[in-house]
Amino acid sequence: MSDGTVEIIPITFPYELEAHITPDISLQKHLSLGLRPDLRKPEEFRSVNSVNNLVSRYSDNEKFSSTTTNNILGSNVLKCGNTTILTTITGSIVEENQTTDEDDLLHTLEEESIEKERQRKQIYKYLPVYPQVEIQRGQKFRGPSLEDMTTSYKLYENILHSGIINKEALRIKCGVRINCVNEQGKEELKIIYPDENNLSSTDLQNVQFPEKKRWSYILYAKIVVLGCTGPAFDHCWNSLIYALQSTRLPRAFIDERGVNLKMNIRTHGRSVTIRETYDLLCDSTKSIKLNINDSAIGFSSNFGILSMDPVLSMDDDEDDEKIKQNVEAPNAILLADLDTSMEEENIRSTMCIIRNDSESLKHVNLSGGDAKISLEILKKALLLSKLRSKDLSAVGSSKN
Amino acid sequence: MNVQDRRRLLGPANAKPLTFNTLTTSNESDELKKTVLKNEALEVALHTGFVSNSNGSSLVEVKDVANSHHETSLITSVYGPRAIRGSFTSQASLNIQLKNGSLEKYSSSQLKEVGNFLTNIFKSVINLPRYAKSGIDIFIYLIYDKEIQSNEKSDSTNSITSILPHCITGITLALVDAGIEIIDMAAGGIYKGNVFAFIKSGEEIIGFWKDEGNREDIMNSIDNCKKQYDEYKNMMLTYLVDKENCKAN
Amino acid sequence: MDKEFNIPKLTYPGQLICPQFDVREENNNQVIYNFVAGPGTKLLEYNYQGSLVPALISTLIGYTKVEEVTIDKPDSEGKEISNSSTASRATTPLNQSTISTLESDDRIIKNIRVSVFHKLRSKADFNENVDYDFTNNLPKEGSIVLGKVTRITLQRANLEILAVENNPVPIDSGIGSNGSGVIASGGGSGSAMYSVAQISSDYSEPFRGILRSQDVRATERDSVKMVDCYKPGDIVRAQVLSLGDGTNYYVTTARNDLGVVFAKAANGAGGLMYAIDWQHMVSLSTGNIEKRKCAKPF
Repeated sequence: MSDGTVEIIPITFPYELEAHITPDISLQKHLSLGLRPDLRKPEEFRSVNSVNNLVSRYSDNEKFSSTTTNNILGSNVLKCGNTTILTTITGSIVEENQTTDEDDLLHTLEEESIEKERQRKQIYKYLPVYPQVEIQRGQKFRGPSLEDMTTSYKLYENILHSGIINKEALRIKCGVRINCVNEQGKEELKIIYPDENNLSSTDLQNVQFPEKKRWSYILYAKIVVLGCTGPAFDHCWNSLIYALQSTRLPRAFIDERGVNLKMNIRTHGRSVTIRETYDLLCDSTKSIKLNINDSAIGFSSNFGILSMDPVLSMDDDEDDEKIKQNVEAPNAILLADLDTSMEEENIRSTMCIIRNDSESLKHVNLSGGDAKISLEILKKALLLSKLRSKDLSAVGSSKN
Repeated sequence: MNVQDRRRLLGPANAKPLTFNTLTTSNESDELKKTVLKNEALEVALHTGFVSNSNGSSLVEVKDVANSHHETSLITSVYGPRAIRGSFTSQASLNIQLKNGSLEKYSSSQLKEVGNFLTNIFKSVINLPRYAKSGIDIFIYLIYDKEIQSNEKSDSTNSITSILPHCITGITLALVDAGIEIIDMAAGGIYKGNVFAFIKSGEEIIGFWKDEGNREDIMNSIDNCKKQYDEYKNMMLTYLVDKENCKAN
Repeated sequence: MDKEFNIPKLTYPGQLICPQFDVREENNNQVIYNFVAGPGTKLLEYNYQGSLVPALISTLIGYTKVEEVTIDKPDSEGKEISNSSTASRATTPLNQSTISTLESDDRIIKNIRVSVFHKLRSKADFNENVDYDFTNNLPKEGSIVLGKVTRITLQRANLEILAVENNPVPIDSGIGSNGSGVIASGGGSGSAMYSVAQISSDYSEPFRGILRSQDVRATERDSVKMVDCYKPGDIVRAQVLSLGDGTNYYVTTARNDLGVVFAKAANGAGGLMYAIDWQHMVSLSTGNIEKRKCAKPF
């Protein structure tokens, strides 16, 4: 080059085209100028807007609440850059199986696996939500794509292992619907809950609460990602957390006559007693807020590490000395909140961190690709994710 | 379900869906009546070009008190023209799919039927020969679709028919946004369960859907639907021209 | 010119632009204007006061562009209009009869092509000297495309068409849509768990092209060795020969300005290479020279 025997004229294309056909080169060129393809700085996150309970049954919004009669318990719309995520929480009721009581399990185990089992026992205290992610990329393929499946599974695991929802929080304190006589002397249906304070003693005497059976809610989350331009997991996670924070659970009750329903049946000469399983009904007016472990909540952020190509990033007027330096020690650069397919395609070393704004880390995923994740970069990422988590929790709390 | 779906996390099999007890007190229906009376006109919000990984997209939000008694919001995204597998086709193959949103309201066969109906409509609207050996995929995502209870008993409620005109509007807008050639702005209207879709200022009918609609008075339905078509078309054009002018300035 | 014929500047789909023919008196000659449908417009029968009139109708929202084009003298069979697009060719049978009957000495026929350009979001960022006339989205005969080599055999190279020159293929579904992207591993999408091959089956297919060995260069066509011309991963500029079959377009690089435009050394492991002549490329970091069929290096 210094001799200049051959002059090289690289073929150039308009910016848009170059970004499309050689995204790796275009990305390097951008970063050598200190900007990313979407004109953010390397460590800049996109801003997040979130609205809760737009379509839920328990709406904050007066305009909707009057006519809403659906089964959505909580919802969230999160917009981050060009990506929109709609999360809706629905539920169902399951009758708890008494035999899987966690304490019994420990007795039957060998010594060495007790430690392992203790960890499992820890998980028994918590419940997951069952997420179903749909990332809309215009695929014709019916049913979930692999990306949908892996994202769903990751959400499921993280909710469970973060310990966000206690088992107790989803247990139903079942009420009973009774026929009683009110002040005017008319007969009316009335629902009585065991934990309500205004119960008169006569009511309590009359009412038999179901004690032998236990029910709890199962929560499902449906997450739809529209206009997905980068890694989707973080936004799904954050949206899910917001939605869970806004979720309300309906009170459920059982009819009086269903409390102790027994039937005697004679089959093949034997008498069997069958307990009728009785469906719970949900109270359409009363609800309680879903109680979640605030300390366990973390927000997710992702990072990418890219090593700069020394040849592409050098300036024209840079002296040879400096180029040599660059070639010898390619410097890695940390990018926060990956977006655009250009970044997603070319950055192989990534990090995903779920943490809160204090010292607790909930989930860290490092995957090393072509660029080395140095300790320095890791520290920086942890610090940034802490700041991000603080911002995100502020977004959530201001809306609630 | 007999076959377990291993691709999704379904949760425990013995879970039962939530059922709410129904409360119909006179107090509540009074409240409803008030909200219905307040918004007598058709409320429509249109928006295009916000699903960034699609070629064109639109959001249609409608609160229709007069005709279909529905409050609907749907997102349409257009992907393509893009390569298809299989043998050579001299014109684009069109595929329209609907997806249930957060409320699993319609069965998949219903959605498929509507998808086919819409495909047939737009086969005559899109300039298909222009896009050889490619496919155009259109997805409609029903975010939200809810009946507005009204006091008069209407036969069109709670059926997928009532969202058809909104779907047509949504697709037309999304196609315009994508820059796919269409010969005219298509729109439709609903009257007593009959849906008609028009182009060319109402001179050509490109689609007719009847489930349990009025049988006797078809001509009257056409006239009413035509009125709605004009309304929709004007709305779309005002929106698009405004947007185009905004961009130019 | 658009003012003269009262052609609207901003059009929307279905809007009438102008009737197919118009007659003007200029210098004692009757000038007949024949409007030809360009991209973004379509010739349709339009109901005007009870009679059907052929007229041009816009099919896009966007701005009209009016220009005069020369139509080759139509011989008995030839129906070729220079500069014409597929849309206008489709309408030529209608034109032919009228042109031949109307042509006489004191009449001048001018052909005006009217096109409508949809302003894509990305178009605003394009710089001035880019040719806008490739607004048509799809590759067709004669168009210059840019593609990535995916596979080579002795007889042919397979390409994935990324863009028609000056005009990126429309966005379809983000990453993985072209089957070429390695999704960032673990980057939240948990994508380390699945392979690229599976992605492409989930998402849409890219447009594919085939470059046969005899179409690589114009000279010594029989002695082309594919491995000395292209390697997988190269970005190639090529011209579409034919629409081919359902899956592939047939493309050629038998021109000076066609061939490899971007290539990486050592099968993609090394750095970017630059062309030093039409058959060789050099890697700046190592100085190694590799063989390629380059697109006009000078």
